[in-house]
Amino acid sequence: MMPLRPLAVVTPRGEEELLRSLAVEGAVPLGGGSDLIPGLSWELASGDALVSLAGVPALRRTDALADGSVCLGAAVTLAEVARHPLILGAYPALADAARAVGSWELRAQGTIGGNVCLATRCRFRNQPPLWRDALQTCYQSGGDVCHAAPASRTCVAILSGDTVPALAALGAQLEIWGHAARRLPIEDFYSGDGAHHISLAKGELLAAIHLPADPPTAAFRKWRARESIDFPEANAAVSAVWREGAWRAPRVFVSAVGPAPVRVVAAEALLDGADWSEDLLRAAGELARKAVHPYDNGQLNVAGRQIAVRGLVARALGDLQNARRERGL
Amino acid sequence: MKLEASARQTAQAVPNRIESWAKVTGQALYADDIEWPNMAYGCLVRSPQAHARILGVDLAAARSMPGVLAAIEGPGSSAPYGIMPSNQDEHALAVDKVTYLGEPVAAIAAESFRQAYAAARAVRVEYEALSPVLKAGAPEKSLPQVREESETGNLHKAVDLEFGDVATGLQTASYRREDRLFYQGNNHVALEPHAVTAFWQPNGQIVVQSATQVPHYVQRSLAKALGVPEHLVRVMVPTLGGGFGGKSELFPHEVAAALLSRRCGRPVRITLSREDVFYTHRGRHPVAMKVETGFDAESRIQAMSFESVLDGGAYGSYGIASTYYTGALQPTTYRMGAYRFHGERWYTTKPPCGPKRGHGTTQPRALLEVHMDRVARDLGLDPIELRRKNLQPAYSVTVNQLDITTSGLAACLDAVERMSSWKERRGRLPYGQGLGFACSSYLSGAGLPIYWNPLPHSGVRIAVNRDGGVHVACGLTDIGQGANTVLAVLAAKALGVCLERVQLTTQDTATTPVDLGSYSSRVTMMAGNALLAAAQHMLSLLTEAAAHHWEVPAEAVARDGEDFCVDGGGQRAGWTEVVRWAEAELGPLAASGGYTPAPPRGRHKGSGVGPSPAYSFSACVAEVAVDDLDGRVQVKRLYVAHDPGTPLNPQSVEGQIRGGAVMGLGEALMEAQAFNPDGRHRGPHLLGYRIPTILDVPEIEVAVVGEPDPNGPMGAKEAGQGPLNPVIPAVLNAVREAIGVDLSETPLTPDRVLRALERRRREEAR
Amino acid sequence: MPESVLRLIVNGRPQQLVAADEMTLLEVVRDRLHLHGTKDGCAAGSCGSCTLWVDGVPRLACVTLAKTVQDCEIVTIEGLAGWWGKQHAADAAELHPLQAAFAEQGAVQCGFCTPGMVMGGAALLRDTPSPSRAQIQEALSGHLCRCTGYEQIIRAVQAAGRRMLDEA
Ligand SMILES: Cc1cc2nc3c(=O)[nH]c(=O)nc-3n(C[C@H](O)[C@H](O)[C@H](O)COP(=O)(O)OP(=O)(O)OC[C@H]3O[C@@H](n4cnc5c(N)ncnc54)[C@H](O)[C@@H]3O)c2cc1C
Ligand code: SF4
Ligand code: FES
Ligand code: FES
Repeated sequence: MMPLRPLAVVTPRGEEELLRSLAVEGAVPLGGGSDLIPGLSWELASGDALVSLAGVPALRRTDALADGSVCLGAAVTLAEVARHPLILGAYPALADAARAVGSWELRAQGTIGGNVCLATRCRFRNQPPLWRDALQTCYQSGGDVCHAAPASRTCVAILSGDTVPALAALGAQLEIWGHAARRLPIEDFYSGDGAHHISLAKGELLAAIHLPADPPTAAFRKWRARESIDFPEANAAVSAVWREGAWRAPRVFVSAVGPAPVRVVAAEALLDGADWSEDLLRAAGELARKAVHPYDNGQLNVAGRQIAVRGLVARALGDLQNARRERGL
Repeated sequence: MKLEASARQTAQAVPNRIESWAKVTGQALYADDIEWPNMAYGCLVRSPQAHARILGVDLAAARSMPGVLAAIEGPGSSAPYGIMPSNQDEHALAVDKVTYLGEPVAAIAAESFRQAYAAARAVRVEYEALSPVLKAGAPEKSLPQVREESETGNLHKAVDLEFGDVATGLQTASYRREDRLFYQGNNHVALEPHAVTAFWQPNGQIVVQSATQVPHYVQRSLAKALGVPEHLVRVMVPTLGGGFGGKSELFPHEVAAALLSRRCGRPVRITLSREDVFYTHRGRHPVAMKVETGFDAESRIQAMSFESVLDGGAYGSYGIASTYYTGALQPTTYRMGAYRFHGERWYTTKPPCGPKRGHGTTQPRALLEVHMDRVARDLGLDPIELRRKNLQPAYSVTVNQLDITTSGLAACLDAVERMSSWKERRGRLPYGQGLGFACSSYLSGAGLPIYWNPLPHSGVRIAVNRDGGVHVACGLTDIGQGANTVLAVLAAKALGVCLERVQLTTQDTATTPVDLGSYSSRVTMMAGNALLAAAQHMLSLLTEAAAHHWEVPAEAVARDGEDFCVDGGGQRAGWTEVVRWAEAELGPLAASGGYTPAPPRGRHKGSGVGPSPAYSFSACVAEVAVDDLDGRVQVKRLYVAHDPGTPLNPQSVEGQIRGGAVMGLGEALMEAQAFNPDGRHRGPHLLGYRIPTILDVPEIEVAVVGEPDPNGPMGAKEAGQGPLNPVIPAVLNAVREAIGVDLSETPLTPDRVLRALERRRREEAR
Repeated sequence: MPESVLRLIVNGRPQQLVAADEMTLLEVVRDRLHLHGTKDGCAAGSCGSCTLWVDGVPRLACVTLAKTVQDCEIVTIEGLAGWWGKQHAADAAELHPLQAAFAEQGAVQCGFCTPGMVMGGAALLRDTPSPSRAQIQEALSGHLCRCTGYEQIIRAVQAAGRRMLDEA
């Protein structure tokens, strides 16, 4: 056991108190803590005051809004996401992604907000303190070197939340609270710098996730070392709308291969309105493989992670085809 | 819901574990669960460098921190020790250099663990970095020497054995083939991390409560390290949360806890973190191997030459034995005209390797069985048929002078062939699917102790009290494999009483006769035989007392259930009554027994490694599906057959077979104690070192075959280690069948499989 | 170093203690309440040994800060039989059927994973009286066992489920 250093836990009950607590120097949002607590004990994360979101009712709700969209509070647990009728009905790919996270207990504890805001991961940093003691401090820890990509000027640690590509493929929007509330598409949330990977200002938090009305058909796939527990070594989600006998407006996202999800525009162009033969899906997968440039900072070997992307995308696209056939279209 | 109270079980209905009730209710106490009055907490300061000279250790800052009671560093703190008598190369705390990342350098005791941890983080050590040494078998002069003691450069030990004329055997062979494999190292990952509490009492006695598989060796080594006579050290083992070889010698935290206790006058607890366990290691050696075999025209092995190069890590540990073991058991499955073995073990700046389930025999078995499959392919033979032509028979002597008694090997082959529908299905599965076969054998206890002596390997003392209770004392250690249960069940059976009468005292060096420990699958065989000897002695005391009482000859006294009676004579008395007669006559009743294996047949150097009173045999068929797109090797089903002699506790034997098979699966598919080029462990935690989850495990069909072995207690051999070995090559062979690619390195992780497939794709495109 | 008064109901008994905010629930249960049945196998959320119930939900005590479960009901392995007894107006000495099944089916070897497994499995059985093999595997997918190979654990959950249905 590596004990946590002294800190305060703050448990606000309402929105105002929450924002006030978060505005304090050293305050950090605490979702389920399934990532933050191990991170603190390994001296990877910092924070003098952990502001728990669990007691704020507005963050725990899953609401169907009048316009047909769904608003998912950031503190809703992944287990709840995975079994909620609204999600299972209209956004099954999100339920699949939520179910692919960690294990049963981690999903009961981990929140969707924490999954979206999850710290990036890297084999040269996500190690116990002793392991790093004699290693030169890297960008993410405030130093000026990257062990994974020595030529890089920024951190290339891996965005590892499983729900991210699914939410991106579905066209989800994030609702941010802070000095002023704002909304942005999830794919704009990630900066591409693994050390400061999400665009949240001090005192801001992710409050809710908005899932669109009339969502496209979507599918999620994950590649990892074991069938359970492990973080993704690569994951992918795709979506498209079946209209007039063809798939339109495809969205193809690959994640867990760098600090931000990668949108594979070339594959989308290839797929839009085309005849989705097995070969075409393989070709789209191949385009995705070429579009990603992982570094060797995951658990599995980098060449393998890149090759796996081809299969992930091809299979996810195949899942869309299967979903269509099941619905008799 | 009531347990079918184990206390009410009879000897006939064997419970899975006599202590299950404690384990399912949370009452079982493990080493980190026991609170001693006035206990202090220790923490080791470990090296963040893989290889460095220590220039200075500054404990001042740590000493002044809140709650700190004692702080110690290496020089002068303890004498060198080591599990092998010829390899006394370890210090609890590094003295002048560190040779792996994580090596203990200093130790702190404080009022609370938090305080000890904080103080340990505050210790400043100055190092002069040296280049890490990461590769075994590299005799480059430029590399720094890891241990001064090593033979030449970083070569720790080289061994050569030859039986018969291998050169001629290979030359005159009608077919010969050479194969190589690199077998990656791996850790035991017992779920319980090591923990110890040591109390250097003011009266000079040192009481140690530790999570160890070998209390006797810990007592011996600790006495040496501390410079005190052995009788002043008492080692007790609480409930142990798994071992698999990882808790089989004295460790730095055990010595440090004793030293800190002397400094602060209080019991000191040190519990390792999961990270610490990966640094403490002593797991399976990474081994690079080569085998060459010559066959005669009838496809029989004429000669075999086997070479292994072991990457030993920073210390000797069991390494010399491990090295010999990589050449010892090839001939126990296959008869061969001549056999040669060359083994080398090298020091590297990584955590020391040692024994893990299957000690040293797992790696060569993997290559040997892959090799046999490739031979069968070349010769156009069914892989199982090729083995059948070459089996070492029961009641025979192997080419390397090992005495085989019973052998269920042929029966194992038959069983997995039948269960898997091998004949109907092999070679007929679509691309991406395959069946693979392998077989193996293992020891039921090493024939010789680690340090030479003429004393029993195991001792049992039975006392029977006037309350009718039977008290069995034995130094054996239950590491979760069920050794206590076997002992209790055997005692009940041998004495003809119900299990509820039996009370055990085990795993405590002060109150029990010595048993060497839970390694090399020796416990059932050796403690079992010792128990039978003691029980026989006790029974004769009681029988004679009854005979006296009834004034009949002892031969006339018979048993009916627990009762004693005289056949046809009408005399009858209950167990307790006879016990009282005997105690009245003889005083308090005690009987003891010991077991020493027969001396080995071989007289050559190295002949001490390999002999065993009996060998277990196993075979496995693995059925796999390899996913072309994601590289995942999905083992769909395992068929495992094992010959454990008499299965004394069938449910437990099944559990050992399943557990061993799944551990083998982990080694085949995912586990790697691997290092970065700078000497850092790739991930000293359960996300960086991955073991199978419940979702990674296929259904396993188990067959238990074989017959009672004359040397085993009531015919028993072993099941704890053997069933692991064939699983790995069976999976490797099945993957070859499925995708037609020979992989030359374990484990078969999906990235590795994908890369191999991609390579082939590119080659085919060219 | 902020401390607060922690109020928990542990195995049916109200507990009050002063604890630093950075204390995990695992530290509180093991070190402060001396309930050592809950195990520490990794302290990093990756093995399941520390599983206990927080308001009926199986949770990893090693990655849960005690203060975030203020006023919650905690059930540990030591309290499972008592919880079961309360549900079924049974004798306090009786085991939860899953505890008995673990012992009988050979699901226990070294026993270190057992408390976590049992807490996870008992929660599953409470919500899903006759779980499929796949459901059992999913519920226990975060629980590592190094000894058994898992099959006998799956059998124990199935057997307990059957027995609970028979007796219901
Ligand atoms: C063994 C193990 C395996 C895991 N496997 C996976 C996996 O396979 N896939 C996966 O995706 N994850 C995995 N995780 C990580 C984690 O459990 C999940 O990602 C989970 O969803 C995180 O949610 P949380 O609420 O627990 O996050 P927390 O730990 O509470 O927070 C994570 C980060 O997000 C910040 N944060 C939390 N909520 C907000 C918010 N509303 N606004 C702004 N910032 C916020 C926190 O400050 C922190 O930096 C694993 C974790 C462990 C320990
Ligand atoms: S990617 Fe580079 S900078 Fe980022 S955490 Fe890894 S080593 Fe550090
Ligand atoms: S100890 Fe909590 S999951 Fe391992
Ligand atoms: S019984 Fe030992 S870890 Fe499960």
